[in-house]
Amino acid sequence: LRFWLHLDVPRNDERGWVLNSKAVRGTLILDVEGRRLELKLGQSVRLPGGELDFAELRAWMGYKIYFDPTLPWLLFVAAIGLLGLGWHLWQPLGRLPVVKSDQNHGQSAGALT
Amino acid sequence: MSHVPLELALIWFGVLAYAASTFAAWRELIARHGRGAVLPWLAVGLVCIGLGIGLRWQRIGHGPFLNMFEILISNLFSLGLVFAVAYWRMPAARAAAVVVMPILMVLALWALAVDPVDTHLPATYQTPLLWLHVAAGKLFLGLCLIAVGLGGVICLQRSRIMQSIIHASPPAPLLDALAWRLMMLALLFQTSMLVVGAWWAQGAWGRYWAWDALETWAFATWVALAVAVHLRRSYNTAPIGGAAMIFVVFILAFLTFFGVPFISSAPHKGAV
Repeated sequence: LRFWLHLDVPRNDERGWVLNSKAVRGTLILDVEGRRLELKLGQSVRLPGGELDFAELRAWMGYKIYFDPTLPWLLFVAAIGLLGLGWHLWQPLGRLPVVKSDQNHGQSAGALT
Repeated sequence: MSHVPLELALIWFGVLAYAASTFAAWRELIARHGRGAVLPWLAVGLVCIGLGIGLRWQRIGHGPFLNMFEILISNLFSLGLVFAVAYWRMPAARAAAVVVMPILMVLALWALAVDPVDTHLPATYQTPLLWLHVAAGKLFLGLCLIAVGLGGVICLQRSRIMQSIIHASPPAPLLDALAWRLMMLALLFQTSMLVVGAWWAQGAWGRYWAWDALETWAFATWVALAVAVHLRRSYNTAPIGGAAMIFVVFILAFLTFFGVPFISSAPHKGAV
């Protein structure tokens, strides 16, 4: 058994579109061992081994397609900002007292400007 | 013996080694006995915890990024490693061990109290950006932690009770200068963490910034750190005032790392 939904509404792909299950009608297309069947909302069909009832259209999967051409530039500006901050702090950072002797206490103390 | 008890046993043994390092730090500060025991015990702890994390990683197939147990043990390792390097390379930072090691012990005891349940790595976490983001964050918190240790020593030096028993610690101006240089470095790493995090979020969730709880608190921490660095550089604050600002920034950072992701229902907490 294979089935898919055919929406009985005109669709404009140039505009945002939301499938509202209460307002939109669809037809459930069935492929039962090569035989095509169509079910409208509320209809049912007897199949080998049971009955299929098209009760309601409740949920679906949706996708939001998003494209912002400024994002790479935003990342570039952020990277420039980070480099600028690093450059700004480079001089005081260069005076980090990375020394191996305990005797150097006090040599690196002072203002950070 | 299966891997599960072995990896936990290694982590417990690492915690014991951290405890020995904590004891050695206080002993060196107060009694000047047993010099040189802090770093070896810390190294033993790092090796044990690192092996424990490695075994767990091999067993479940991903690193410690998700639940509270994983976050705590990974920070036990990374913060311990950052402090070990600082302790090795910067003699002036060694006094900070009396504050840093007890903080690590708090994390260690917390980790032992948390259920070490296995996790599943979501698809959104399978990106190289995760490594950059996490590495920058851990360096930021590690540098902050050492600065807190140095600020803590400044406070201990001013305490009447401690003044009489502390024998070996560098002068406050040196501790203060070193602490703030580490805080400036921390600012660079935190900024990197936010930029890379936004880059990752854009790919993972389709938005680079959404003001979720973790992002908001991380930004608040960044603002506090930037303001503190600006105040320290512009007004050359006294060491005790500088230490107070460092404590505030660290408390915010600690809440961001260990509090917000686990009380918020936002996706950023690691659920997806």
